Amino acid sequence: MRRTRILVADSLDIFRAGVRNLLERESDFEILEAASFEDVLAATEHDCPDIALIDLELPPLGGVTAVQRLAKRCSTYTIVWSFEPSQETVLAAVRSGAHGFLHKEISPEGLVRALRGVVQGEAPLSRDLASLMIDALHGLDERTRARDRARVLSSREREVLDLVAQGARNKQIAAALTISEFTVKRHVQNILQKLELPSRKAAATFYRTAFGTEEAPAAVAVQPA
Amino acid sequence: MSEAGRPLVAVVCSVPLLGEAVESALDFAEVRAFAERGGEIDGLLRWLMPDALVVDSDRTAEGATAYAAAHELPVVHVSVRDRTLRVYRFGEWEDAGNGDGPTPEAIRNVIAGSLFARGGPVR
Repeated sequence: MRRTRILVADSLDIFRAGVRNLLERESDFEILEAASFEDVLAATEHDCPDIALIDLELPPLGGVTAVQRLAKRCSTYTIVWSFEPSQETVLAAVRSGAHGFLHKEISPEGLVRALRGVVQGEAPLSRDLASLMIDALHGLDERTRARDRARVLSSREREVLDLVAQGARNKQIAAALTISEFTVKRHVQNILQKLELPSRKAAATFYRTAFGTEEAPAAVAVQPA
Repeated sequence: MSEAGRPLVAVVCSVPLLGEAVESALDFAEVRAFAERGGEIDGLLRWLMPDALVVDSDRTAEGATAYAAAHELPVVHVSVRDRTLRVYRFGEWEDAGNGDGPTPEAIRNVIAGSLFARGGPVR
């Protein structure tokens, strides 16, 4: 019987030792180890493993980059694992080409089951991580829709809405953009009308959904009222 | 002490693979792994009476100190998240592992050293 070759890429000795001890009891697995991506390259120089279990924090560039780079060299099934998976990390790993994502607190039996499942074409993703990923996809979808809607706004209206989302009052917005308070009020009315939103608060929520904080247009400094 | 005359090491962890790693490192001991249950450990220790204890959470580590102090039980705290290793013996916590973090070898050395220090039966 051909054994399934599994590469365990984790900088923590203790995890590699734990997986090795576990899988050595199973006759259908063969274990390779790597403590860094350099080790991954060395281990896959002549032959690719069937499965690579990659730590999200694998040095030097992390597990997501490791998955992408390994995919260029091997058609290995890759599984990322970590202690505290978030929506972003699970989604980033899957988008980078990972076939699954596991929690490091997985039980030994669960890990063996997951690895055997991968060989049969399953995507290992625990229930809580699957729901994290679905939430992340919904969030992404919602953001895309919100951004599409925001296209109806002029660049000045976007600036005004950015400041509204930051909690600025009309007087502060007027000072920040060097326009009159009356003009700000008119812009806010237009924004609500164009986006079909009932209130200033709803507009602020909409803006945060569409642009979050990191990708919002450069904020104009708001002076205290 | 186990029935086979080897030291009995209890591993109480929230990361089950840690139990596997400790088992592989301690070939001189009988290792029994248990799932961490919110820091409550006194009952388990009174029932099992191990020669050494390995834990991976702050709560369980602190929860074990009263029993450990009363029974001279060495407690090894492996923090896989912080990559640190410390040991409770003679009533206080000490950093262990020579800065290499929680490697299987470091865990083995710390436990073997603690059992020898107690005059325990390492064979």
